[in-house]
Amino acid sequence: MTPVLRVESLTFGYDGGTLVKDLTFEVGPGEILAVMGRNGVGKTTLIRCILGMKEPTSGHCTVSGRTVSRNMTLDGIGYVPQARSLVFPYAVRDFVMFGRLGSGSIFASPSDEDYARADECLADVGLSEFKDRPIDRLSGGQLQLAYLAKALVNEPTLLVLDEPESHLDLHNEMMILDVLRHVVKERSIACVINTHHVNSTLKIADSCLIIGKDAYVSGRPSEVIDEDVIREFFGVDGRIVHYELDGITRSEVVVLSHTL
Amino acid sequence: MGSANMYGKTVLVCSVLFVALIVLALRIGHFDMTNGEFLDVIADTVTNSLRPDEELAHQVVFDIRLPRIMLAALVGAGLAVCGASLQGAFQNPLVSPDLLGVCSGAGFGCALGILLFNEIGVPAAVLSFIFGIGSIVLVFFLSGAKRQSDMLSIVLSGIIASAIFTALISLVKYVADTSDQLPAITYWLMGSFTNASFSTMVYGAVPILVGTIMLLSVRWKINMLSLGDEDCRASGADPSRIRWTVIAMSALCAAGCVVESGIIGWVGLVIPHISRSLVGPNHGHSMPAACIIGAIFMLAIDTVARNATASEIPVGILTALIGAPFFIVVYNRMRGPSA
Repeated sequence: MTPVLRVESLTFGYDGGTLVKDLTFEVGPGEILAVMGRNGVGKTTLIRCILGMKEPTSGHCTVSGRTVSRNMTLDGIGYVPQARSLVFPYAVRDFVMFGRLGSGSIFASPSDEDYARADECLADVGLSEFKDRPIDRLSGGQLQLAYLAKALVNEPTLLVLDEPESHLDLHNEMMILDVLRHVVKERSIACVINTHHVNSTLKIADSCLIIGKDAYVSGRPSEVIDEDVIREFFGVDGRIVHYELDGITRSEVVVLSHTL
Repeated sequence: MGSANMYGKTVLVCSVLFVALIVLALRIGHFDMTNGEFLDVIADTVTNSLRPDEELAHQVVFDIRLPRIMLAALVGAGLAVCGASLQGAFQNPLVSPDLLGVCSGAGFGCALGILLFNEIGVPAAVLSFIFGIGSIVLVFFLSGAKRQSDMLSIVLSGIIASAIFTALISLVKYVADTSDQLPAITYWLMGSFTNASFSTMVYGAVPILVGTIMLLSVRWKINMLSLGDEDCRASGADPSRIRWTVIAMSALCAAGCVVESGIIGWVGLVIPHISRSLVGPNHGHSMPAACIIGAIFMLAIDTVARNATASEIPVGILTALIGAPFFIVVYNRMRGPSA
């Protein structure tokens, strides 16, 4: 299957220093990749490179065969930032529809189709009944779902999420991830999730990319993650538990203590 | 759908109110005439059958009151649309057109014109316009906007530009002739439509109209900008390009307003809040509503200003006296449900 996202020999850093060197991986349609690692290893910078918001030192990313360049128009990429409260409490439907207005003329105004697409995406994430509600009256989980619907409204081939479960309770965290998994499989979208919530994300991830200070590992979680990896890349001592879920072998990290 | 319905109703009601207010403003004033005489003058002017004894009333209604009404409505609409656009573009409902130093810059230009040419004529208007636009150029370079569009640095640069031009206005006042120039500068800075006429209106009306129409045209993109730069870019739009379009058009419009009527505060801040409380925060709806509400508000204030007392009250004083308490009421109502 042709990959949607291809990252080849990507090296990037800040102020002359290198964060990540020679990173190569692919994400295919309907595949969920969890990007993990400790704070400051370059996960968010990797996301920014994929979105064309930062120029890598060397190497490149291609999305659906198109090479990403700095400040390019993000056609085909849906981005879900960490949900945050907004200054203007737009109606949920309007907020999702705004995602359709980015491309096109600066004078463009919404069409009936734009609203229809917004309604479809709200139905997909289960927010239809809240579509007329001001966005500041949504719960944290619902707000993150609204951001997800907004990212889906342009029918992207690649979905990039930056810590979608942060600040959410366990129920909302799992709700977001379940909806995400359903949408990604249903629409055959390639999906990259930047996360610190290792165990909950591994419940839905098909593959993982764990970034460390001078190295990275990538592949199927059950094949890649072992006790040495979690010690080296997460700085904790722990055990790995493998279990079956929906016919797929999943992994869970049981943390025992942090390493000095 | 609810907000779209509310938008339609609000625009309809405001349009009716606006037309009624225009008729009222044409009718009342210090020149006394009966309702019958007023209607006769209108009818005879429309049918081009004006009687000699109606000439004076015709001049009062059509040459003095009408341009003033048009100008007040235009300035009110322009300032309200500027305020609403800038509040969206800077994700801050407390932003007003003066934020970028445009009003201070244009105010300095006109004060300088009065000082150099001893009158508020074309040279003062040109200077006012040049320095109004000049302030935006200053903000552009101070904020290093060629490199990137950083919101905080733009706001800080606006405050710096505003401070510089306010100091320059004080300097002009200091050296101005205290018998005629200083009162002229001071009165003009308070904001007034006293000098409105069709011949002078064009200097301000063209930039106000161009700025307002452009801002209304990009109102849907302002929604995207209000979500934050990262989100805006992720949706495929260029936040920097949209923001500078909004800034440049707001500067054009605000400078036009200052050229015509001096510095009139509060309208650009208060009216967008009223508009949002009526039709919701979506700029696609709230900006056209702000446009018409701003026109109504300014026309109403000016009608009061020229009729309340024997000598006119400067409009800027009234907008502040009415606008500030009104803003407190609106703000408290907005805060109410979530408190």
